[in-house]
Amino acid sequence: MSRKLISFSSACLLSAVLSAQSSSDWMKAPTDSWPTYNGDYTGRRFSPLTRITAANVDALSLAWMYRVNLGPNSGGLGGGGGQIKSTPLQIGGVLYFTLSDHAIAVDARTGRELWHYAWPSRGGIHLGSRGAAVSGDTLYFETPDCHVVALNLKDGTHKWDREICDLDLLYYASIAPLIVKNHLLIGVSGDDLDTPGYVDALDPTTGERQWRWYVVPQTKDEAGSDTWPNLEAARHGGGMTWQPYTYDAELNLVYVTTGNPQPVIANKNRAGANLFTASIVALNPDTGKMVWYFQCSPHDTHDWDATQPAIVFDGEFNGQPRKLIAQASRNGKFFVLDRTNGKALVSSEYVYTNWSTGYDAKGQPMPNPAKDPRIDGALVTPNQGGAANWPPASFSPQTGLFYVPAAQAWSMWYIYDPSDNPQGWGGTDRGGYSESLLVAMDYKTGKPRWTHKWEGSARTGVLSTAGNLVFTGGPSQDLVALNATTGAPLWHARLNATVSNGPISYELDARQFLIVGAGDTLWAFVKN
Amino acid sequence: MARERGRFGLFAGIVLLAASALAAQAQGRGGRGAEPDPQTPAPGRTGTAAGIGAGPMDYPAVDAAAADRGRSVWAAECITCHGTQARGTDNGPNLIRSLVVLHDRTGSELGPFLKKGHPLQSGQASARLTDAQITDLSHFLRQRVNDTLRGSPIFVVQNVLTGDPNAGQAFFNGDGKCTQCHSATGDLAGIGGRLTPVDLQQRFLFPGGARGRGAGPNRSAVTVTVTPASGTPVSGVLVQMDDFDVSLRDETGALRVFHRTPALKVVKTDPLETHHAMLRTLTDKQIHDVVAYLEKQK
Repeated sequence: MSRKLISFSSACLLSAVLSAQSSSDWMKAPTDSWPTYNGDYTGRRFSPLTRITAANVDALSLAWMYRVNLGPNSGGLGGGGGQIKSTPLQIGGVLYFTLSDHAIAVDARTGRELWHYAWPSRGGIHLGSRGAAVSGDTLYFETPDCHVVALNLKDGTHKWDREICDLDLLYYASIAPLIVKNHLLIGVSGDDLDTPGYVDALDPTTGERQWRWYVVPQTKDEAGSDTWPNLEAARHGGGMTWQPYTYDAELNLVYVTTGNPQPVIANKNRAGANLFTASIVALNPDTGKMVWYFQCSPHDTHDWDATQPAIVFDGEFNGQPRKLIAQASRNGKFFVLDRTNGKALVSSEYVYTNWSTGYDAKGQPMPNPAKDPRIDGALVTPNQGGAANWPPASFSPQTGLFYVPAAQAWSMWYIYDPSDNPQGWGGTDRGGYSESLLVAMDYKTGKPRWTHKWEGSARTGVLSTAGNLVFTGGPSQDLVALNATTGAPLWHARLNATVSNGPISYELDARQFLIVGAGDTLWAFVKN
Repeated sequence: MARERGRFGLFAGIVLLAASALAAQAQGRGGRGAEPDPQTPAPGRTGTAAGIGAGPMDYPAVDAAAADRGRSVWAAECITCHGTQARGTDNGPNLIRSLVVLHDRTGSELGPFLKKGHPLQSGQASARLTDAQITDLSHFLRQRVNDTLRGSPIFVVQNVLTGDPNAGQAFFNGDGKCTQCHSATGDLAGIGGRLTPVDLQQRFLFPGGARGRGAGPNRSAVTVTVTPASGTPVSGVLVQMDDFDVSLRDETGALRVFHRTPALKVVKTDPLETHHAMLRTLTDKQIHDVVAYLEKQK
């Protein structure tokens, strides 16, 4: 097959993935491209490719590596901003990925740089950029100084930009946008000041806002306002939308995962469940109206947002085919919901937790007040970093397992501001002990099928493949392949830094590539 | 939002040290997880090795002397309605969350607002406040905002000595089985004088810190014994282990590296395993009782 034909095929698949709304096969992941942050709309991060298998993975070879050069005016991107945390898109034989303020295109076969765009920053937290979205001939990405930038896909030249949040309020922007039909969906980050999170839908052509959905009520008549003590608390109640969304094209529902309430730790002035923070929320992408919600951490007091991936899949449950969505939440709990209505089918935990007394009638955890942060300290697991965090999980329809990059982590939680009207943080956790794990959850039982304990610190994104493999980062700055069914480690390659994003896979020229970011370097392995 | 962990701090030096310690801990002990616990950078701190901070680059840093002068203006003209910490009262709104304050640059917003006229405690017209007073007020208010950020210098652990030392002693000598390894008159003699109460509490729960792992002999170092299929067992301090390789430093100081195979027997010994395991069983009362007891060992 010629390169031109492959590119055409990729473009068609991209178009199909991004625009198919009624086809029954919208969930099928493409094989010669990776056109969204998660590879498709579902968030499964599952590759149907089978050239690389558990039997031959040790024959992988290095195809190329690309080291990012941010240039002399990068502003000292420390604190994570200089790492490749984004998941690259692969469209038409070109990889597109981002770092804070930077978008880069490289040839997917050779790693040769095609273009590099640098945004002149006004500031903001340079913690990382999750990635880009592409629609037609335009690439979109968010910048730490609260902008979404549109670039020409072919050469990286600037088309337009739009301010999406207020930098003075210490918001910043980092998520990979999502294109759904004629909507460019963006989110916002920042939990320093007590400000509200929201989702904006923008016109992909002009950047004009189509609608905004606030995570926390802005008027007393809005749903959820009765879960706050007063409107002042609700309006400033946080709930940042800092992780990419998933989507069901058939139900036409976007699944938004929301951040923790504000003030974060000290909480005397926000009694109540604090909706719709720390929740999975289904929105109609055409109107911005909420269809259902499920709150993973009612009245969170531990900085446990619920922004981990809400993964869409179909599967059998109690003998019936069901439309499901699942999340391994930062608080250590595992939820499987009916994604048509948000009803919980499974509420369990993927690591040991000690902060809740059980589940309510909706399957939501009931926090144990004794494990709230205290002036003299409370011993709690998970820690603030959570049992899971931003590194994306994966679901394999082949094994039926949900793979969680996890931690069994303990720390002491303290209140620093015991006043009746705390602001911002007012407490935090200290110290701790942690074990890094890769947990394979059986969605039907809510129990781990297997757990792999790492000898050291490891928590990065996960890719599962139809070759019965799981790829993720290990504790020795290595990329590791495990048997997807058993968890047995099979192969690894030491890199120059700890894996910093989620691996992806695609096939070009009848060769299956495996791409992973580690620090400032993108690595490509191939099975010839 | 509870972003991922991994930013650097308001007070870069302090936080970089803390991050280094945490990173070392993560490397050596399994650590805290994927990323170290961050502190919030102050608005306007830019271009440092620690990265670009929260907020815009053109936020002026707080001038402590100006903030102190502003505190006097605040006490004379504002405190009754807006409160000591500017968080509002029944008579006036919260200014920590005020857009005028958050958009202000040393008086750029606050000045025009006050010049238009705003009630003051003294009864004088707000327009009569001098530019210098407004600038001082701006620094005072920015300092109040920064005080709410994680990493704020006013955020410190308070009193952790809430337990019963007698109950702590009983637990230490009884159900806690602490005396299997420790003695209040031996290795822990005087520990209450060497550590602050909060450090004592943290050390009790999470001992070892960044010390040990592969760094050389010490009590908390993890050791490993590797036995090849045909050969003599080799023991030493664990340097690094994963699913594919294991390396140790033997008694001569030499680094020994082994590729792991099913035939290679590897036995790891962590002297702190008991501490790790008891995290699942300790109650908060037991923790505070033991800390109250150990704090008295001076």
